[in-house]
Amino acid sequence: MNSTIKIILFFLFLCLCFGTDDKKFKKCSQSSFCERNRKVKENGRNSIFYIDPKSININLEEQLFQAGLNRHSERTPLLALSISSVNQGIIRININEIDPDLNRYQVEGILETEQFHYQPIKIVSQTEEYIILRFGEENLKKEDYIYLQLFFNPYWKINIFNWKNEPIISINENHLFNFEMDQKDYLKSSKVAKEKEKENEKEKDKDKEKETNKQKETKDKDQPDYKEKFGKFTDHQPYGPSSVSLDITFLNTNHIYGIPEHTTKLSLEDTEDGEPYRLYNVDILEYETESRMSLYGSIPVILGKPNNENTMHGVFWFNPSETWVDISTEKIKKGNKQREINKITEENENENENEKQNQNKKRTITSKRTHWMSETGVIDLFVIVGQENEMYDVFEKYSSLTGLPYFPPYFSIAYHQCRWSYKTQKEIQKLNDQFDEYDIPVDAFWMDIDHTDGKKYFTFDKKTYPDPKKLSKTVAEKGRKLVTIVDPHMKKDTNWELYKEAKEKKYLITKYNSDQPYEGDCWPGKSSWPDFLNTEVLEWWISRFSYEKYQGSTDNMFIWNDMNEPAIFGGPEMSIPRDTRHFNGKIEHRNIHNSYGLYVTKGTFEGLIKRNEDQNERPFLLTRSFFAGSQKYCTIWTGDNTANWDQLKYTESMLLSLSLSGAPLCGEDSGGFLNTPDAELFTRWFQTSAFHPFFRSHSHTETKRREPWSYGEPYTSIIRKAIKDRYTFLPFYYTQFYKASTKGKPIMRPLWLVFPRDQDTFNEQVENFSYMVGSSLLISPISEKNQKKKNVYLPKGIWHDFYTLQKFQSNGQYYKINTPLEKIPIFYHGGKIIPRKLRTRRSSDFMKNDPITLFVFLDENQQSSGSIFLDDGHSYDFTKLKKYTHQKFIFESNKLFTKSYHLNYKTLRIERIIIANLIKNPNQVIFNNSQLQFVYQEKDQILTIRNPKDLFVGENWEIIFD
Amino acid sequence: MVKFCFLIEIFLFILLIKNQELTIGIDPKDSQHYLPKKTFNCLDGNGEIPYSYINDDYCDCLDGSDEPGTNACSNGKFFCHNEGLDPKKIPSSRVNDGYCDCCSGEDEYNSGVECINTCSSEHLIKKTKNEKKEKLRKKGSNKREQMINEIDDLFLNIDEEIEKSEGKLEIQKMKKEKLKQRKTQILVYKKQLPKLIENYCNLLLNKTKIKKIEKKNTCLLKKKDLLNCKNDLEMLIKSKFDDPKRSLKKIKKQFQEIGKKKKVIDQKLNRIKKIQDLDLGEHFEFSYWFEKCFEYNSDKYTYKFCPFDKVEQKEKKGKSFNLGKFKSKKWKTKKLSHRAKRWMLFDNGDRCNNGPKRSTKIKLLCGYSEKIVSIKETSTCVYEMRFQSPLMCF
Repeated sequence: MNSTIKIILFFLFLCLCFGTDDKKFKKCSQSSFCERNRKVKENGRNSIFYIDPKSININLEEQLFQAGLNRHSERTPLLALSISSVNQGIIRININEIDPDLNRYQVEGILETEQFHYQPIKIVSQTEEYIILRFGEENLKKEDYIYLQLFFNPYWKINIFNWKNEPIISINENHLFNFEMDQKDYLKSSKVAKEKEKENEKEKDKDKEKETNKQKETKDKDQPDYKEKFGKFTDHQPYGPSSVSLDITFLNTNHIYGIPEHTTKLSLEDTEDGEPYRLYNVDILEYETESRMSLYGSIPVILGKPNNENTMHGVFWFNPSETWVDISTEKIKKGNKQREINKITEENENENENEKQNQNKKRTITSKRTHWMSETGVIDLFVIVGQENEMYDVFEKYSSLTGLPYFPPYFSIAYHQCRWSYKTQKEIQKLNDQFDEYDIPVDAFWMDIDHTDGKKYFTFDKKTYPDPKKLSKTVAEKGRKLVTIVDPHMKKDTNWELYKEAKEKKYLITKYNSDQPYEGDCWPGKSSWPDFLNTEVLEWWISRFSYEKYQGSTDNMFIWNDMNEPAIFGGPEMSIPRDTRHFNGKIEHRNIHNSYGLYVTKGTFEGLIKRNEDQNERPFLLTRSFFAGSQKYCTIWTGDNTANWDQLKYTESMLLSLSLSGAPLCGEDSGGFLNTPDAELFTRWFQTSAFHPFFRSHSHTETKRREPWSYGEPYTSIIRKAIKDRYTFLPFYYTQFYKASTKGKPIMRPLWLVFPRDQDTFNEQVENFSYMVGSSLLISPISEKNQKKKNVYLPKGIWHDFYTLQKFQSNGQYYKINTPLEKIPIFYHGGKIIPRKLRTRRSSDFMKNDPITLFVFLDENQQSSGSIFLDDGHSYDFTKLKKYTHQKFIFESNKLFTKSYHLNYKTLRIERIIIANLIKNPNQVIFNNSQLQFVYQEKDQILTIRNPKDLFVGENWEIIFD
Repeated sequence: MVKFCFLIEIFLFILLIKNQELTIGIDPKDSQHYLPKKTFNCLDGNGEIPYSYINDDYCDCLDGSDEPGTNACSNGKFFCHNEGLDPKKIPSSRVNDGYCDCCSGEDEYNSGVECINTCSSEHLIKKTKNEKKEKLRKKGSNKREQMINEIDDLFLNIDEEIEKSEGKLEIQKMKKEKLKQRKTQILVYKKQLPKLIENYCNLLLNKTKIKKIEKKNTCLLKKKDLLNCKNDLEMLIKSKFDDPKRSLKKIKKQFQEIGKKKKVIDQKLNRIKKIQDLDLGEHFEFSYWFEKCFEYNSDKYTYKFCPFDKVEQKEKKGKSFNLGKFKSKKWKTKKLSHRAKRWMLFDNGDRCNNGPKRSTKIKLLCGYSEKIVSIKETSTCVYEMRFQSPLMCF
């Protein structure tokens, strides 16, 4: 081939590979507030805020500490700083204008304020330089108090301490705090920018064209009515710039995590050389891996794992406007004055001595600085201080702020079959039969946009889906469900009652300059978007889910909210203009953007509850867009991924990031949404996906049809096995989901969360490309073509191969594991008991009465434990009537016994108990004064109890291995 | 005594039930392996277990053969006797799962679900359906025979036809060649004639000149005489021979006629050769589809299926798309005897936006009339059409 042709083809190929249209989405330099805040230090001393100690006030009634923030150039305080502890171990720092021209938007309906237990504040000491506050009830244990030191001058700064009296988080240490308040500010900053431009101009006369473009932009900025241009779009900013920014430093910390949704590796990387992490919910086609560009959802939460401590601390930046986060690493010698916090009076001397000793060591300490920049709103920051030796404490505390994850119905943790679109009722009926033909279990069939009448949601196409109720009944006969899509865009169709009503009642988001609904393009063509912030609109939306109004819907159908960023074809950054208005023009969309998707799901979730008269059925809901708090309402999936190996590889870190950020109910499109995977990729994808919290196959309408059997043998059999494996683990998974819904614990975990002392678990390969389910299973997915072996890291302890139960006694080492197509490395963790159901049926519902097999994996000390949660799997009876069973199985001192937290649900027979790593072959196994049949395999040290009579989950018992 | 008998009866009854439970779900073919013995050998030969372990709701054999009647083994098979209809095997997981899989309902013997025995009604339905189908097939098959008998001779004697046409073509070619020769002759003649006349006249005049010089006004005479001479000669030639112009016109017409004739023969020949390349079946029965198209109207589109050519989709008011060109390589009429292989494939149609080139699979069915039964887009730009014809009634 001619070499030039080769080159051309190569570039064509490049273009094809890198699909995302970068130009559609903003870079920091194209977002004026991001650029201003990145350069905030250039504003000079006059823009720095300090505290006048005279302004300090403690409101004992509200347990609120208040102080005024002054600029060095002005005498009176402009900003109010309030500090409180909303729950034990959680500090809230709020900064707002004292006398604003326009009240800033404060988010409503997301925080769990009823759950707040404000902690008493005590002043520990106060000097001219600082004040030390203590938060906590009088009778707390010493280590449960939180101490906070607030410095006054030359700029305000906060240090927060842990139980050892060491500072763990520092706020405004790098004085990147900024609070744009009025137009004066704005002009000033743009002048600085302009001067800079001039300098640049002198330097770069050659690049005239580019410069003129930039000049145009600055000129636009200078116009009094404030517009910001991006491409062909103009954002009208009649209130001027109002961004806020602050730096928060995680002290003595190498690894910080969070701020999903990005495709980067799990541990957040330094951003100084490039773009900050962006949080701005957009619909993005063909997203790329290892990018800090924003995706469909955002959770402004960062967790830090302090070095040498087995805990995690967190910050929650409660602001739903566009947010950028810069990350940098700071290395200082220990003993640095800044970090020395002298006297906190209540500390005992021993600890002070310890500290001195530590200081004497003088070693380099790494800290992670995060710089948060939001377009508008107030600063409302929550700092979560984790307890010593409690890696999961931070999740429980975070859940007390934004809510615990919802407890989804049992069927939803099984396998889902989706495609855009199964076009007719008959196609789904056929699938319902085909899954049986191929003997593959499935719990739900999904109906994408085409099932509707002209993309008017809440309707069914009369021709293609003539009888949805009958369809629902047909699949229900096999214990299966349906999921229909309901998107928030409303077709502009004056013949459609719903649209007419929304328009007449002014329920729609309006244009920036009139009270007419904003109109944009989406699936149905011209559409408008309901203003979910308005509670009246939300109530109206909720009511639309009643069986009467949503004609054709049944209690066997559940919902999927897509395009709720909201996505708008041809809109700025594929979303809605920021200058559109909510609340009849009162609130600009920019204030709430990242939370729009959450409000959509909130309405849908409540709609699903209220559609039943007794309001006793648990909803299942899937969302693409999300914000902090979405976990209360829905499961999240990672949007429109692409069928290639790279995306499969990065799925794990994306899901782990969500799991760590308070959204443990998550999954991805198994097989990849865009493009058609080859048979190997498709198979490998299912193998790992089967262990993700949410397990659904989905594909784009322009790709080849693909169901689990589409690739023929041997692939169908391998995929069947992967899906069936998931079904055997359902009792274990369900228990994990229950724990998530009560403690906020992630289901999918990075290895270090379970083994925080093991430094190797922080290795890039281990952290990003393997994971634990609960603390019982270790999965190491295969995400490379033709990979016949994989180096798998097993932390110190005993492990058992999933396929053979072969024992691995690891000292914290890598093992070369064979990975033929039918296997990915999966290991049981020694010390854990896992309840499974080995009889797989066509749906999870049909397995509800099947017997349990207990897998007991003993650790080095011949001990093990695990638990099970059982209820009806679909109703709220477990909370309302306490109809559930929650039981722990414990193996110690040659006894296997139960410890029951609650026993109030029907019993389940135990048909088999497999005990692995049982070193001694017992003479007899005794239960209820009689001997149980068992087989002991000397070689593998595995004991199997065969068909024990009268042994039930849901009863208390004890088995003795004599 | 009566009492005793009663007890025995109960005992026997229990035994019967017990026995029935023991042997439930067993394929009669394998029943000899399940005869009461001390032990049972798993059917795959891996393992020997006590006889009492059969159908005790615990899976002992790796192949699941110890639990034919329960759902204990995930890889087991349950045998439905389905008396009155065909027996079948179902996965063990469907035993007592709350859904009736055997028409007899024997798979739900302990789930609380009461199955209605549908074997006889299903049998009836199946029977009538089969009968109906058979009737249709027969009717179609007769039609097919009839069609085969009425096939155009053209298709039957294709080689002869080719020879014939080629011969005709040869004749026309020869005719054309002759005509060409004639044309050149005339052209030469036409070109030389004026000169010949002039030369002749000059010669004639020169002879008379000497006599005239002796007279007066030679010059005038000369010109006039030459002209007169030429005209006279031309008139003479025209009256005695063909005018070359007229002849050329005539020849041109003849050429056109030959061209037309040739074109017709060529077309015919091409068509025949095309037919020769096609696989039209043992009896040339698919010649019925040659150059034929079938149409189908849906809400939005009109579809056109032209069997050995292409498939088209036309918007009601607008553009039309090629849904695929005939893939002759994949068309083998011999394979049509397999029910699963009754397909006609079309690919390489117009390209979709960001997608593949459109393609269509035609499922060929038996039917009395020839028509498109249905069409659907199985995935974007991939179509599946069902087409029925008596030609498919074997």
